Order: sequence, then C-alpha cells, then structure tokens
Amino acid sequence: MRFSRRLLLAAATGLPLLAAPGRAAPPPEAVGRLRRLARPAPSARALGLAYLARRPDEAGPARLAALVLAALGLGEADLAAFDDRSLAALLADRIRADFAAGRMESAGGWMLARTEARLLALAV
Amino acid sequence: MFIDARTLAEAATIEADICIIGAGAAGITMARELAGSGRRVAVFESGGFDFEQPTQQLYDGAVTGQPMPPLVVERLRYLGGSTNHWSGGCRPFDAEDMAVRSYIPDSGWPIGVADLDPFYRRAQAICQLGPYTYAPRDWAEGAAQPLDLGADAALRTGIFQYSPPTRFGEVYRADLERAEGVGVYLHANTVGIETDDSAGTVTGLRLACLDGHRFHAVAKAYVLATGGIENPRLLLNADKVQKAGLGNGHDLVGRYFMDHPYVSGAATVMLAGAAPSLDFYQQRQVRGIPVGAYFGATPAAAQAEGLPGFCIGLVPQTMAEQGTGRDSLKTIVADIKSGHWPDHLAYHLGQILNSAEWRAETTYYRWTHAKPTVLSTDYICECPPDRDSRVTLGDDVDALGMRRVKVDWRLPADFERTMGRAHELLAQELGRLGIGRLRMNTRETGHDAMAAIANGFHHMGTTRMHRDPRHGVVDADCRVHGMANLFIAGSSVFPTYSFDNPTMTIVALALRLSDHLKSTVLSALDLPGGSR
Ligand SMILES: Cc1cc2nc3c(=O)[nH]c(=O)nc-3n(C[C@H](O)[C@H](O)[C@H](O)COP(=O)(O)OP(=O)(O)OC[C@H]3O[C@@H](n4cnc5c(N)ncnc54)[C@H](O)[C@@H]3O)c2cc1C
Repeated sequence: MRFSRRLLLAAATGLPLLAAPGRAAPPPEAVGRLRRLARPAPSARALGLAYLARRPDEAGPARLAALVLAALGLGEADLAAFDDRSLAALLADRIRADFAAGRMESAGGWMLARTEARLLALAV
Repeated sequence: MFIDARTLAEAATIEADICIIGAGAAGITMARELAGSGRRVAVFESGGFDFEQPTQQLYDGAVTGQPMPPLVVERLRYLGGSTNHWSGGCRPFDAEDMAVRSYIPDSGWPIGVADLDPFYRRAQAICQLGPYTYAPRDWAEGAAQPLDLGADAALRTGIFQYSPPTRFGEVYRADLERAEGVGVYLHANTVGIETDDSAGTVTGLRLACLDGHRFHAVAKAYVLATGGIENPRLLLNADKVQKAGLGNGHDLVGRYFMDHPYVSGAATVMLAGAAPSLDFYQQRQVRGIPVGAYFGATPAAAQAEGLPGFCIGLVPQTMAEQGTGRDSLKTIVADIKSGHWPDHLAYHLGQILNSAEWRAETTYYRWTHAKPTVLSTDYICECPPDRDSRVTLGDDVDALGMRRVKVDWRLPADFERTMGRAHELLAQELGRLGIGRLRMNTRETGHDAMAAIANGFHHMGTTRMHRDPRHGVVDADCRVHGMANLFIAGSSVFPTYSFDNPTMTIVALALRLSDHLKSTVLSALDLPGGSR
C-alpha cells in the first residue's frame, strides 16, 4: 500500500486535510467503495435522510463522496492506493478529528462527526 | 434535653442566649456545636420525633411557576427536617462556584471556598461521608478509572460522595438529649418574630403548638434555620414593624428562589465495543464509601461558552425486548464484538432510537451478558440567579394563622439550549476518544426530556448573601443586613450554587456561623447596649 506525503502528514499530526478547490467529482467506483464502507442498512438510511434534510445542498452520492474524500485529503489517485481496511482506518481517524474540532452534525438527534454523517447520507 | 412544648405553662417565656428556629441539618448542627459553650441554647422545632400529618400540613402552599411536587411533600417537618428523606449526595463547592462569573449576572459570594474549607472538613464527618477528598484519582480502583480527557478538553471528571444518608434527627438525637446547655423544644412553632420599633433588633419570638398552647422566647441572638422556603416565609410574615417583612428593605426576601433542575434521560449514549471502561462513572462503593462520578465543564470552557454549572451522570439503560430496536441493538452488539469501526455504531442508531420500545423494562444484560452498551444521561444544573423566581406570601393562612407561601420557580429561558450545549461537549469528548455516540432526547426524537424536568428539592437563594444590603439579605456572616441579632442558616443564603447538592454546604455554613456566634457576636451582645 502506498501513502501520499499528505496522508502521512495527516496521520502524524492528526490534522484534517482540506481538499484542493475545484477537484472533480469522484468516479462511480469511489462512490461505491465509500458506500460499501458505510454499510448501507435501513437504520443507517434513517440518519442519512435526517442529515440530508438539514443539508440538502449536499444531496447526491457524487457530491457526498467528493466531500468525504476532500475531508480526507484524498484525490482519485490516492484512493486507489488504499485497501478497504486502511481506508476505513483513515475514515475513523477523520471522524475522531471531526469530533475533536467540533465538526459535529445532528441527525435524528444523534450528534455525529460530519464525515460520519456524510457516510450515512451516502447510504441513502 | 428535649422538652415537649405542649407541656409548658401557658404564656411561658423561655430565656436563652441563642434561639435556633428549626432542627434540620442546619439547626441540629448548630445546637451540637454550641453545646457546652457556656451559653444557653433554645432550639424550637415545629415537629416531634416522628412525622405527624397536622404538623406537616403547616408546610402546604401553592406552586405557581415551573411545576414541582406539592410543597407539603417537598419537605419534612419534624426533628431532622428534610434530612429524614434526603438522598445523601454531597460535594463541596469548587472555587469557581462561589466566584463572580462575568457571564452569570448576580453571581458570586462575599466569601470563598478557602473560608469554608475548614468547615467542609468537619461537615464531611457530620454527614458521615468518607475521607475529605473529591479528586477523581483518589476514587479510582481496578478497572474503574477516570477518563483521561486531556488538558484541552472542555469537560472534566468530578466526584460525589453519598452520605448513608444521615438522618440528622435520629443520628444526633442522643447528642441533643445530653447536650449541655441546650433545650430542644418539640411541637414548638415559631409564628412571629418581634422587633424593636426600628426593626433593627429582634426582641423575642412568639411560639405556638397545634393544641393551642402559646408561649414566648427571648434571647440575645436568633437564628432562622427552617429551610429555603420557610426562612423567607417567617421573615415576610414578620410585617408588623417593617411592612414588607423583616430584612426586606430592598425587596429581596423570597426573590432569587432556585432549585436544581434535574433531567433524567436527557440523552442516550451508545458505547463502542473497544471503548475504555466507563465503570468509574457508575455509582460504586470504593473502600466501603458510596461514590458517583460525573462530567462537568472546566472553568475555562464554562467561561468560553457562558455555561452555568452543570453535571452529567451516566446511567445504564434498559432496552426493549421486542421490535426493531432490539434487532438493531443485537446487530450492534455483534458488530461491536467483532471489533468493526467506524461505522457499525452509527449504522443502527437510527433504528434503535426510532423504536418506541427501547425504554421497556427488559435489561440489556439479559441478552448480551455483557456490560451495558447503552447509557442514559442525568443532567443537573445551576440556574443563574433570577429576581423573578420567587417565594411570596399568599392570602391563605395555616392552622396557626401564618400566611402560606406561593412558590414561582422559573427556569432560565435558555435552559434547553445550555442543556443541549453541555451534551454536545460530552458528545464531542465521547466521539474524540472513540467511546461512543450521544443522542439528545428531544421532541423531534420522540422522547422529550424537557417534559421530564424534575427538581432536586434544594430550595436556595431566597435570603441571599451579599456584602451590599441592596443586593443581599444577609452579610458574609449570615447576619440579616440592618439587624443586630438575627442570623440565617441554610441554603436560603446561597447567592449562587452550581450543581452541587446543598446540605454539605449548609452544614459547613452552620458550623461557621456557630463559631462566629461564640467568638464574636455573643460577647458583643453581652456588653451594655447589647440586645438584652
Ligand atoms: C427527597 C429529597 C432528597 C434530597 N436529597 C438531597 C441530597 O442528595 N443531597 C443534599 O445535599 N440535599 C438533599 N436534599 C435536601 C436536604 O434535605 C436539605 O438541603 C436539608 O435538609 C436542609 O437542611 P435545613 O436544616 O436547612 O432545613 P430542613 O432540613 O428542612 O429543616 C428545617 C426544620 O425547621 C423546622 N421548621 C420549619 N418551620 C418551622 C417553624 N415555623 N418553627 C419551628 N420549626 C420549624 C422543620 O420542622 C424542620 O425540622 C433532599 C431533599 C429531599 C426532600
């Protein structure tokens, strides 16, 4: 598995990486992979829908996947370098970092990390 | 010595150096403390050794504001007072609880924790608590360790200790029986406080028994120790000379009434499988001492967020045995056991919390044989002082002719917001540490915690302490401003009070007041020109 320098830096500092502006929407495979990781289930959908009701501007799998990847600081090429396990670990780190920075979203009353809320919305 | 006031000669006059009205936590503490001091102490207690309905009825009154149980069940009116049914939760104030906080108008005491510390140490023993330490690390044991929240965290861990709970009337009855120089008059209701023409000095008390006996008492100094609602009631009823009531020159008596709002089940917490143990936060016995732990804001976070004092406790939750909620919970348990993360948790949350059955009475333990993965929060907070939250007199009178009270308790307008923000801070820590997720129980989520606001039976603030008579009824020595010899013991003197249960502080203040009376006041009143 390959790590980009940006990712190593992110892992070491725990700082969130921001997406470069103007990044293109991720390809359908990326959406699919994130969706799989989000493990779509009826219960997850309820929260995903609740999140989208609050943030209709983020609706659409491509948009959500782009936002998640951007938060991870990943580009299309970077994504290919991660197997599901390491991608999940990266997401877990980002979720904790969201909490630490107060990037929280309320969905169905649950106080979720923003990245987590977006993953749930991807499952809708 | 105990004396049944009903056996006194009609219109008798009791003479003493100090009269204490009320024998609850405060009055009993003072009587014991003043015993053997060479001073004659008369304690007048409305009740007898046990509950009696006609006496209890004297406590009736109206609740007109935020709902709370009827006043006649909020307190107990016999020897030991409300400690006959208190729960025993204790902790001393932290320094910031007594400090002026810029974001809480009217906050701050004229004394600090350092002034109370020596008395807290003694109150600790009187309330039959464990060692005088509230440092979380001193209560860690085995797997029950406080979370390492880190220096930057907005929350910190705190400790309550639990008294057995001490029933003051029972535990200290033998002491009072043999206390040198102390007479405890039972069935002795104070129905009037008499003063000189300027209302600057108390000259005597009028007392009555429910069987019709009436008598008097005179002393050098008088202490009101009848609890946070009756203390202002007695002052407001004493309106012969000062029409607005004694000590009420600045219209403060009865104002700033406050209790601790208590929200059980304010939020639900779902734990992750590999999360650090939260055993520390359950009620436990440590070396035989019952303790509980809570999350509260650090002083820096409270200031930055403008939050009143609050604590959040965690309580294992029961779950439904039927329905979709159960299935989702089972899935979560399986996932947690297999160590999946990050999303397995958030994944089923919606289902569980949409399931109406989750509150049902089947314990989670039964199907998981594991520690509870679902907790609910108990939220207790301080209400910032509010002039309009108050105790006033109604027109009804009790069997002894005293006007009954009306209690208009008001919650702050931003109560729900601050409760939500406090929980957000907890959610943030739980998420950051990978411990779990939190859901507020709101109208939107179908479990409206706001509909379940209870009160702590902690009646405070109605004769608040302040250096300046324009802002407080008593001074830093618990003396009623403008009065030479009238003192107040009890939580009515608290100007602010954080989320801490009041009794330990009531006892500490009663010890302090006893010292003050012994060392300063009585000798001054002995001099020519003293009160008698
Ligand atoms: C259900 C419940 C649970 C509680 N749990 C806790 C807890 O966990 N922790 C905590 O710190 N506190 C708790 N409290 C509060 C605690 O009981 C009080 O803080 C404490 O009892 C107050 O002590 P006090 O001496 O000021 O008043 P009280 O204990 O109320 O005593 C006042 C006394 O004055 C007498 N009296 C009243 N009027 C007159 C009169 N006119 N003449 C003569 N005598 C009179 C009464 O009979 C009574 O004996 C609880 C209270 C209740 C009701």
